[in-house]
Order: sequence, then C-alpha cells, then structure tokens
Amino acid sequence: MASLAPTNADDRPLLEIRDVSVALRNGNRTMVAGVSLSVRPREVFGIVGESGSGKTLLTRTLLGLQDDAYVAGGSVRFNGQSLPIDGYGTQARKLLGHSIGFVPQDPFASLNPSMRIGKQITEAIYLAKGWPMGAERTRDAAISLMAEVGIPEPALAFNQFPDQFSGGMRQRMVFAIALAQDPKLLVADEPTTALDAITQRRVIELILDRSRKHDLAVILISHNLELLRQSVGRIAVLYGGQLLNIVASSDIGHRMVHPYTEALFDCIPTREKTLADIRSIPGEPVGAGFGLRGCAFASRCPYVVTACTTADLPRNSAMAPSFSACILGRGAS
Amino acid sequence: MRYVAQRILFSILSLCVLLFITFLLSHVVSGDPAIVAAGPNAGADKIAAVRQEMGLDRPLLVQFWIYCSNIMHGDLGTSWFTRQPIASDIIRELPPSLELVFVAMLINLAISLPLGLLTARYAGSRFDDIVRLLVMAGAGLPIFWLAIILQQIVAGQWRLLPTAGRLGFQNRDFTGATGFTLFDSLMQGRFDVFADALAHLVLPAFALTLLFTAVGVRITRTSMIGEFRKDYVVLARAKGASEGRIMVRHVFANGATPALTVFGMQFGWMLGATVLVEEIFGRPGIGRYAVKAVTQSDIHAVVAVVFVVGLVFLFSNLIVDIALYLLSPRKHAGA
Repeated sequence: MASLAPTNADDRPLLEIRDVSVALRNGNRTMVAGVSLSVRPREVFGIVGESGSGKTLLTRTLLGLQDDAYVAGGSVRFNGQSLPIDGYGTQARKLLGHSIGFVPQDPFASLNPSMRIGKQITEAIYLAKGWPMGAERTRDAAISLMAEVGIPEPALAFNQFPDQFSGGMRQRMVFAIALAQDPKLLVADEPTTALDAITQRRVIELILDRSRKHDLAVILISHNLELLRQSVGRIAVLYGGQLLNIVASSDIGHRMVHPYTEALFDCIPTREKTLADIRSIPGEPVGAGFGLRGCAFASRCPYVVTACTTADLPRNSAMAPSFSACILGRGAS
Repeated sequence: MRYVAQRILFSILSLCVLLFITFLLSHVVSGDPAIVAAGPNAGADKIAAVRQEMGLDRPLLVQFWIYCSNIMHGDLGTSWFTRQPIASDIIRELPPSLELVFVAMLINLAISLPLGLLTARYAGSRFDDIVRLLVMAGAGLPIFWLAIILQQIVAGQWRLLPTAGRLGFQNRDFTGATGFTLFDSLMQGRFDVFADALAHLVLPAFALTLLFTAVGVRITRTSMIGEFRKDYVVLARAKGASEGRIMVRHVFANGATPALTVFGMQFGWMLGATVLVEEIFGRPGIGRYAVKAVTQSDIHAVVAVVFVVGLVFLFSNLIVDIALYLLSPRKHAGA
C-alpha cells in the first residue's frame, strides 16, 4: 500500500483525522482516545472492533450523528476543509446529505415505516440537490437508483412501504438513499449484521461495485474481520477505544501484524486452518474508555511485557498508510 | 380491510355489553318500575296490569331483547319528569355538547401534539422541565375550579369573553338544521353568529380540555421520544434533513399513532366531563341534562345519557382506529 505513487493528486486524503478523541457529554468521560487515520478518495477502508470497542461511537461522532458524545480533541479534515473542534457536530452535519452518505446498522429500523420507499429516496435527492429537475424527473432518478441497487420492479416498489420488503432489500434501499446524495464518502456501520450470510455477501459486493462506479470512498465498519479482509484494502483495528493497528488486509495472515489483530485473525475459521489453529482470545474484552495507562489489550496479550501497561503507545503521527500501536513494534512496518 | 371488519365487529360486541349494562342499570337501580309508573294511588291489580303492559313479568332476557329493539328503533323511553320521549331530548341536548367537545379537542390537539413533539425532541432540557412543571400543575387543577376562575377573571373582570350561555342576547333566536351552531351559522353565512358562538365556546372548552391536554402532552411526548431513538431518524439526519424536517416529516406521523388512540378515548371522556363545565357556564347540553335528570331521579333519562355517552365513546374510538389504519395501511397488519 505504501508503494502507491505519492505524487498522485488523488493521494491527498479525503478524510484525515489526527489524534481525535471522543468523550461522552455526560461526565466528560473519554471513550475513544488519540485516533489518527486517513482515507483516500475511492479507497475502501475497514474499521474492525469488538462490541464496545468504540468504532460506532467514533464514526457517529465524527459524522455529528451522536447526540451524547463530542469530539474532545484532535483535528479533522474532510476534502481539504478543516472542521473546527468547537461546535464540531454542527459542522459535520453540514457535510451529510451531499458529501458524506451514511448507512446505519439495522435495515429493519433505518427506513421510516410510514413513508413510501420512493418518497424516502426522492427526499434524499431533494435534500442533496434541491429540485433542479422537477418532481417527475426526480422520481425517474429515484427509480433508476433503485434499479441500480438491484431492487426488482423498482417502479412498483417506489410506492410501497418498507415492511413489504426483506432485510436485504431494505438495506439496498438505504444504500440507494446514500447514493442519491452523490457523496464522496460512504460510511456503512455494520451494514450486514442484521442479514443472513448470503445476503451479507451480496450487499457488500453491491456496495463495493457501486462505489467503484460512483468514485466513492467507503468506510466499512464491522466486527467481522474476515468479511473486511475479503472486502477492503486497509483495516483499522480498534480495541478499548484505542486504535491499535492499521493494516493492509492482504497482510493479515501473511505478515506480522499487531498482536490483537493476530489474535482476532486466529479466531476465524478458514479453509486453510485446522481446528487446532483456531484460538479464542482469553479474558474479557475491555470496553471503550477503559481509562488505563498503556495498551488496552495488555491484559489479554500473549506477548505482554511490563512496559505495555506503563508506557505511552506509539502514535500514528506520520499518517503512514499502515501503523501498529504495539510498543514492542510488532506489526510496525 | 380485515382489520376494519374486525374492529367494527369488536365495536358491535362492545355495544352489546354497553346495552346490557344500561339495561341492568335501569332495572336494578330503579326498584320496581311498575310501581313508579302506575302512580302513588294504584292498587295491586293496577300495578300488575302496568307490569304486564311494560313486559316486566317476562323473563329478563326477553326484556333485554325488547329494550334493545326499542333502542334500535330510536326509543330511549319516556322521561318520568318531562313526559317527553328521551330520544328527542337527547337529540336536542347532544349537539351543543358535541360542539363543546369538538372545540375542546381542537384546543387539546393544537397544544398537545406540538408540545409533545418538542419536549420529546428536547427531552431533558430546561424547556422540557418547564413544560413538565406546567403540565403537572395543569393536571392538578380540578375542572370545576378552573372553570369558575376563568369565568370570574377572563369573562368577569377582564370582560374579554362572554360569561355564560351559548349565544349572545342579540342572537338568541338563531336556529339551524343540525343544532350545531358553529356549523349552522356557517351554512347560513351568518359569520357574526359563528363568531359569537365561538366566543362563548372558548372558555368552557379551555376549562374542559386543560386536564386532558396535560395528559395529552405527556402521552405524545412518551410516544415521540421512542421514535427519536430509532435509526430512521439517524438516516434522515444522514440525508441532511433539518431537525424541523425530521420532526414534522418523519417522527410526527410515526409517534402520533399511539397518541391519537388516546385522543380518541379522550373524546368520549370529555363528553362525560361536560357535566361540570356546562353547569358552570350555563350552556345547554347533555351534561346539564344529566345533572337535571339525576337530581330529579329521572332514571330512564340518566340511563339514556350513560348509553349515549358510551355510544359516542365507542364511535370516536372506532373512527380513530379506522382512520389510523387507513392512513398507514401496513403498520396495523397484525393489530
């Protein structure tokens, strides 16, 4: 990944966050600390983490969609524009609807149950672009978007309500809404968790396929490392509110990565592994905002040394394409 | 459509229960109606004749059947006091009360829905706290006390609105086809009468509704607050929709549904609560009629009022439920 030509103008990051921490409004508790990463235009980027690792909190807060949390420190740049930390949420919200599209987790809850599908899509077009083309052509645009995301008989579906469709179909509609805004970045928060395995695959493939066609950068958030490994270029690994690793997905299983990433990968049954190769991680996961010094993973890490719990973690200050927060240097390139 | 049919069937069953209760009421509470009907000087044979004439010697179920079929034919019995058919009394007294309840309901909805929506959106804020405080205070005020205070201050001291009655002196001879003054005056193009009738309605309607509004705000807030937590609100925000748009276009329709069911019931309760308000503001109506009937021990009239109020209650609930079903055809599929 580092070998990509740095002179390319497109190599300037689309989203660049430096040393960002997220705190809860209630009690000012820091939940996610010191995260730095960048996403380039058209890049498909993954964020992986267990439940409570802070991945959803981080991204929702960065988008201004989390009412009970705020960006407590660091800096955020999107598309060359710097977003102020004071009143961050309001600024971030301004980007939603045209520059950033968001796909929430649960397709059964993320569509308005009492509004016709078509209206929910035309609303997105209207909010992104106004009515430059009139109601009739907006309708046509919505129907062609629905066809594009693979909804059968879109003209019919246009007038139907969400609960007449399966979870996979609904997630396609949510995706059509995100595409309708013509964004530069699509953030999908566990878009397939509520779906069965085959539908998962199809929805991910659809997102990847359409993102290529629409020149979209994608941030795919999941607890499923294997899903991300097969779908995205680079993966950021979050644990206990810390960014532990940014790694090219092709390196996982082939080169040395951060011990936590390694441990996560060891949990995944694949065709190449025997049963003995599959290991669970001992101990209980710590939640975001665990409030300890040092590495959040230290208590469960097989390579742990005393310094892990006392020293400050390395920071991804150079915004390198890959990064490991292991103080032993494991997985650092 | 299956839901609508079920709902109507359910209402008919409820109606049967209502009929049975009012039937028992008129038979149990009034002692032996034959003695009363025959008069104080009647002998035993006269009473027996009257009893036979009224069908009181027949089995209870047969009597119930006769009672039901009488009501179906629009016969609610004869008032012991006025010697008038009660049905015609009710037809005269019901429109002013319904008019009062309609206006009270409009005030109720106009306050409850926006305030419930806003307090849900800004739950936990100072605005929410203040509204909650006011609502608690409002819910604690007895209707009769509020009615008297409003009458004394707004109408008596400030002279902003008429004190009592249904129409001003200059319009005392106004009559219309339906008995609903607001409706009739509009139909006849008498806008002065309309304004006069409305002015007479404001205070009683407000006094009647305040308690219900307090409940309405809380109910609306509760059902809206759950909606704001749902992911479709997140998606709407991600679309770039403004908070106002989210409230009006997205949350309102979904959150109003459970609240409207309560408002449907409130309509019936309000009709029952008109008793005090009509008495204080000197308005004709079913409530005042009921008071008169009770004080005169006019049992058939009392039972008829109970029946009619129950009927309105059933009907308003039926209408609300069917309307909600038709407005969001998919949501009630399992209801």
